[in-house]
Amino acid sequence: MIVNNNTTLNAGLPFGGPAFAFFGFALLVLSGCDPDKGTESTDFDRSAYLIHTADELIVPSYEEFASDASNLYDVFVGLESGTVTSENVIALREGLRTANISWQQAQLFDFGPAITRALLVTTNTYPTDTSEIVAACFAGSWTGGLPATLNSSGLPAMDWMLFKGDETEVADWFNESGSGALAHALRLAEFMRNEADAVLNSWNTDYRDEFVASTGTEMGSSMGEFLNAFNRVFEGNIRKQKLGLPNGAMTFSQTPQPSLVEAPYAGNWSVDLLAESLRAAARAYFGDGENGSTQALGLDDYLKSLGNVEFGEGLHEDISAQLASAQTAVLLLEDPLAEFVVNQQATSLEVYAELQALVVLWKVDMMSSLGVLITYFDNDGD
Amino acid sequence: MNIKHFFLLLLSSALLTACNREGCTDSAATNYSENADTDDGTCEYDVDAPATYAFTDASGNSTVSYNGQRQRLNMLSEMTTYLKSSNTPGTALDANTLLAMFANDGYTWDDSEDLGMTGSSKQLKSKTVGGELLYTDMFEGYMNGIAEASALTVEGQTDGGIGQAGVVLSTTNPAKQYLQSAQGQEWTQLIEKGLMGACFIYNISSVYLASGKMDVDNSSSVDPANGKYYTEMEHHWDEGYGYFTDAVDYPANGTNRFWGKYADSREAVLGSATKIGNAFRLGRAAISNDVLSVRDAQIAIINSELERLAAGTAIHYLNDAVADFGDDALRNHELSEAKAFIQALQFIAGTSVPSAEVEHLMEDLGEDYYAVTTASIIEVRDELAALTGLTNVADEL
Repeated sequence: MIVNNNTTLNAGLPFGGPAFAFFGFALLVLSGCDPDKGTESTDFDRSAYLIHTADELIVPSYEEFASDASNLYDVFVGLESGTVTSENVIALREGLRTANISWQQAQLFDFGPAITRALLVTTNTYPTDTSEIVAACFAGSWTGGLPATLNSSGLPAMDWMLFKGDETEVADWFNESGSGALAHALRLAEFMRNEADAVLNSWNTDYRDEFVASTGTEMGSSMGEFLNAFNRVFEGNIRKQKLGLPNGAMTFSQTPQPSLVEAPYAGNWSVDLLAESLRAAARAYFGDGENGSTQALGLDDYLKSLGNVEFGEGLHEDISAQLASAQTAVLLLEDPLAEFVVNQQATSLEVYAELQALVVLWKVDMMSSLGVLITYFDNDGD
Repeated sequence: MNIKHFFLLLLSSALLTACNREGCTDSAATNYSENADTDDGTCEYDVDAPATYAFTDASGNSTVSYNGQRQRLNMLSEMTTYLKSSNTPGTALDANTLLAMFANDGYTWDDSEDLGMTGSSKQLKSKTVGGELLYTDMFEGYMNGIAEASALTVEGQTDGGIGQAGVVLSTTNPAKQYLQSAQGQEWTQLIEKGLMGACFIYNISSVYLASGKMDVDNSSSVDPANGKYYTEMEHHWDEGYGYFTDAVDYPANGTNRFWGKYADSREAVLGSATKIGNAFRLGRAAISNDVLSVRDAQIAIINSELERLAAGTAIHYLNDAVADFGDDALRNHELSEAKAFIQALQFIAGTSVPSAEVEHLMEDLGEDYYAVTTASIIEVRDELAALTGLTNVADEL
């Protein structure tokens, strides 16, 4: 709200008061659209919620991912082609796995600085294009962040490079003079680290303050941006990409496509990454940071504040129950997921149905309860 | 036409930059105050704008006619529908058909409104900036390009991608697929939105509302015996209006296509639909009442709002392209739209984005939409917003 403080404004200036009163009025008119058009009626403190979400959930998740990406890069930097051992490869794999796990939380916040730098698609576009990676190794150069290089970038590209053979074979490849492999893997790790740092830095320099200051629920507000990203990533990048595409649930014929699983070359991570992403979504819903405080201010509290009604507390209870059954269902999956979706497709389809039920509760019911528009399938007509 | 006094509240941008003496600062007003430099909203005019774009002479005959413009809007609608059919792989477009549509030369239109389009003298090509020269060549090149590429698509195959012309399927919204060039440029957008600029906005702003068509007779009807009850000046104004929308009650209607549609889409942020609709009605009433200072004030509003509209729409699509960066089909589609809307800016009278700036922005964006970065898209967006005074709302668009 604009404060029209005539006294202060007039103090050092020769002009009359009425002009300033009018100046203030003009600003009021121009900025006078009411941001709170949601259908809800609640005392919920959105400002406190946004501060908690930024400081306890989003920024720490970027800090952790950026730190893991940096550690992985550091391991690569310490290596020299010709002297790489299988132990080194095992350490690299561990570093990649750690970064992949922390990415599952950070991926949910795909708005603002993450969108500006296309963090989600440079970090985790899969399946990766292995022939592009080989070409880049030989070329000795690679530019990240272009549409043409998204499918040879980030975690999936490193998954292939570190798991294309057993650890001895990978070490041999890194040691092979002229393969360019170690230098290219370093380029990939460096790019991922730099991008994670840049996004974290944006949050720390100015975006955090912008985020907590926008307390409405209209399009473009922080609630709108955050909840649209949360739902879009859960629906598209978790439910669909991690399970629905590989097990064929998305197609009429329901033919499994095992090559589409996440981290297919590591082989034994796909289910862990899915389970972790589901835990991450639950943390985002409950507002729990990495410390797991159950008292944290979350979307659950927002729904409960709407009262003892079906779209309030009732919806929260439905979501809690569905989250629990989805997390139980995911335990039925086994790695390698690429084999499981073929050999036990029916079970994997049941698990998928549990994730789908969460999409409906979060995307349809919760969004309308909170008065926030889904805008990510914004079809402008053509 | 009744003449009555009324008060028009104008919150012009001048309010925000100067704060000194209050009064009416619009020289077109009857109570214009030379000493005032802060408008206080008290301007009075001798002209009333009707609620709809309906004007009659003293005998009650309608003086409004923009049938030729309605024909051209319908021509571009039919052409766009034909162009979009190529988004289904295996649908080959015929270059000669497109060229015949463009020049209205031997093409049989659906003409669902029975306007007599087939064989009429009206055409898009002769009204496109440059006539037979530069820009018509460019559009005919696009038409040949899309015909050639569409002929190579195969039913059921969405095989367009990096370095490969063809239909590109969206990875995030399977309902969306577009025929695009090997560099990701989408001919349909470059033609449809391109003609919205090089034909429609050019004719509104640089032809019909410009001095050549406004410094004309406004005292006698053109040919009342043949139903032309309008003055030359009234008719030119109507022709300008008809290129913006063919609805008399815009923006209640007329939001289904072209500028009327895009103004409505960005209305919440820009407010251009309301302002342009009002300005056309008030300006036309001013002409009928021969108060040309009010007409000129409306021309200034229309030109300024057209610029905000074209730039704001381009910024909207650049924002979308960043958000959809990893989705080739959507990103390319949105960048193609943005390109055409940026190009439209150079055809507006008094533009802040003349052709040299357009060229500069296009260089920054690059021709290959598989080789852009989010940083380059954002750079173009921010430059464009700075040029057109939209920096403060760029994130909302």
